Amino acid sequence: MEHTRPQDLEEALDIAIGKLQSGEAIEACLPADPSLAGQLRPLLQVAQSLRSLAAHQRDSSRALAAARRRFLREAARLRAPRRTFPLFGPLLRRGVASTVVLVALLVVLLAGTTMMASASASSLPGDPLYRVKRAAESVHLALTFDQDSRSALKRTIEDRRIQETRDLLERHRETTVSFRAVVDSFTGPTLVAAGLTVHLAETTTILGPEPAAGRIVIVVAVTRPEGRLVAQRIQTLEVTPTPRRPPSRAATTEPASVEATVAPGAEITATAAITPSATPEDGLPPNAGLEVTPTAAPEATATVTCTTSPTATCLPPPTLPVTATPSAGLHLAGLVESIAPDAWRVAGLDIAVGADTPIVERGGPAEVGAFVRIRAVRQPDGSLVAQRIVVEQLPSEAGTAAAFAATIEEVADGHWLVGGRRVAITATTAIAGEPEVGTLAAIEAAREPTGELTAIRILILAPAELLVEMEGTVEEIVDQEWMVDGCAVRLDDRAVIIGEVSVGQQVEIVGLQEPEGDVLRALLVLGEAAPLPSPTPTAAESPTPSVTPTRRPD
Amino acid sequence: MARTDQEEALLQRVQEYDPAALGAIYDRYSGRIYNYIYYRLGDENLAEDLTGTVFVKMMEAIRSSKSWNVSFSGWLYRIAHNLVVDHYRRHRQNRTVSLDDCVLVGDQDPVKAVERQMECDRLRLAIGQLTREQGLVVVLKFVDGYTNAEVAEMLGKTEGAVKSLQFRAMASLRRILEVKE
Repeated sequence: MEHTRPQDLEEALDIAIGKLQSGEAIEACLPADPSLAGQLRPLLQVAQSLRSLAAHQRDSSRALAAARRRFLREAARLRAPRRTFPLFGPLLRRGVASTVVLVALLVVLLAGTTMMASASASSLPGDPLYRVKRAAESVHLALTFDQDSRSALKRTIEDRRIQETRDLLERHRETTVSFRAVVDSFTGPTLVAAGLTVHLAETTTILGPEPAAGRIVIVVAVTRPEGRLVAQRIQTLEVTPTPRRPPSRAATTEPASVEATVAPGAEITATAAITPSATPEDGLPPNAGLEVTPTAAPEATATVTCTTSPTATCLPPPTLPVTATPSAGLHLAGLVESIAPDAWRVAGLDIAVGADTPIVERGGPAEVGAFVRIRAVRQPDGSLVAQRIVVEQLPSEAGTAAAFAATIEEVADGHWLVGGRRVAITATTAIAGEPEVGTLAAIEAAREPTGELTAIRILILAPAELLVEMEGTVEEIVDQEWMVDGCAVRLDDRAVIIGEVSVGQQVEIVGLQEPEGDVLRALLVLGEAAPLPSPTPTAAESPTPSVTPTRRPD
Repeated sequence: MARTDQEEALLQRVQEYDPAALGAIYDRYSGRIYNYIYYRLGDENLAEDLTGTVFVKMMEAIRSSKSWNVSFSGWLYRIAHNLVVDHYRRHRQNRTVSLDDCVLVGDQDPVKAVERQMECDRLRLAIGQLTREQGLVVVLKFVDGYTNAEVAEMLGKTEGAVKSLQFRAMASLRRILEVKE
């Protein structure tokens, strides 16, 4: 008796099922071989029955649409990083692009408040949120003007890099790390720094003088799954460590100036200009990847622009500027105590108000008792001159206004869900832009005694999905056109470049996808750390920065 | 069905929690996942709930760096299967098929509709007793209408393996249905 191979049966059944599915009757689908046909017939009958399942499927689209909404809500909740500060997590979660926006929003919305989020604080190198953490650190540094605080922050960040390395080793995760530390000992095959044992391989590159106890090294290494730390590169710095708490010195960093404008043509433009120090404090080189250093221009700007819909409920004022520049621009908010023909008294300050000073009565009439926001300029004699006055809806409790930026998760009548927070929308809420779920929005709100938030003003920034982040190696730089890992990146004068960038270097880029699809318009480029300064005797002898100290505005 | 660069890019954005990509991936796979769960459990509401749960689990897995290695869809089906198994384990004694799910179609003859529904339920219960891979092949081929090549791509198997699974599934279903008759 001839035996049928299993493969033949499987193949024959598959052919027969194919015929069945094309509409043929069972008998017509069976092979000519009676034995084979006899084996397949009952199986084809089962297959025929199964076809009826497809014919009687219930339309699940409605149910799945409802489940989709629930999933996206849940996804939004899961996306939220483990926050140590609740306000900016959702925005920071978007990555460094968001932090560019955040820099603007921080000043625009909080009028100088320097609160910074520590989103993704527990992330480690290799984690998706790690770049967010590093970007947040960079912005935090850029916004820390006090010299002592800045130095302390830098040391905190350095310690954090070391702790991250320890955590990775404990978790047996393999990834590349870099940290700066003082050498405890160096025996050749191993180097101990900050308590970490670094193993040298044949391929390990040592730059600069030979490591020795007491010297500072920058270590680039790989954490191995077996818990070893293997060095790729060790750079010994020709500087000596300084005490952990250096004496206070004059500030060396220009402050960030930020301006946001809602143009009359309903175009929102947020511009962040960062003018950080070019020279590290304490005579030490900048912490790898953390020092904010201008490159091509002493001041670079990034602009995020979105155009509002004609149907948007964009209300006046046409401009909403805030400055914190040394030219003494001020943003004031408070109750109007008196109104004279040429001056107002607001929150105890006398402010000159000219006949041509724009006054926008958004939240009510300009009168004594009204809550106003004023942009003013301090004159050389110390007096204040108003440039713009906006009457706002009076927050229910002075000083409890909330400002945050996050992704819109739900838009409903009377309220929105933004970054997990329910915000009441009233008839007087000024909304610039067209709200859509998934769009980044900056919210300024009054906190009601009940704890609820009532939106005073909302700026819709840009659809979150338009922001693209990428990381890669610079392959080519031709003027403003770069190639990064095969991707065309276009830069214009508004792009912010932090750190040094050259061909062959690793960069992180945040930008907007151009309409043609395969070109990224860069908003922010994070290059590698600024090159280490040439060792000079003064570096060790005098830690005083070489740039001309600039006095911060009072 | 080779995975396209576009899909690769989409999956990359999924790993970055991009809301638009998450929505797109849900739209692309939820129907198949729903069908798989529905034909394993035979409960529409439960299938809807568990479909949503599959995608939430997907997010959680990505968040904890436990995402797919080779086949995204195969990984997603594995999540779905684990949820189904978990449901079986917890609700073993309560497995019933409700006639509330009756689908009235075509002639709207209630008697025929109920008979048809009972036949569907019988088949679903039988499918529910197949192995995970056999059940997947049955649902993907006979309910979702995918070709052998597409099923193979989704499951990370060869077409020959899919044909083998199909054969064994038919044979198993025949045995299960005969016992019940």
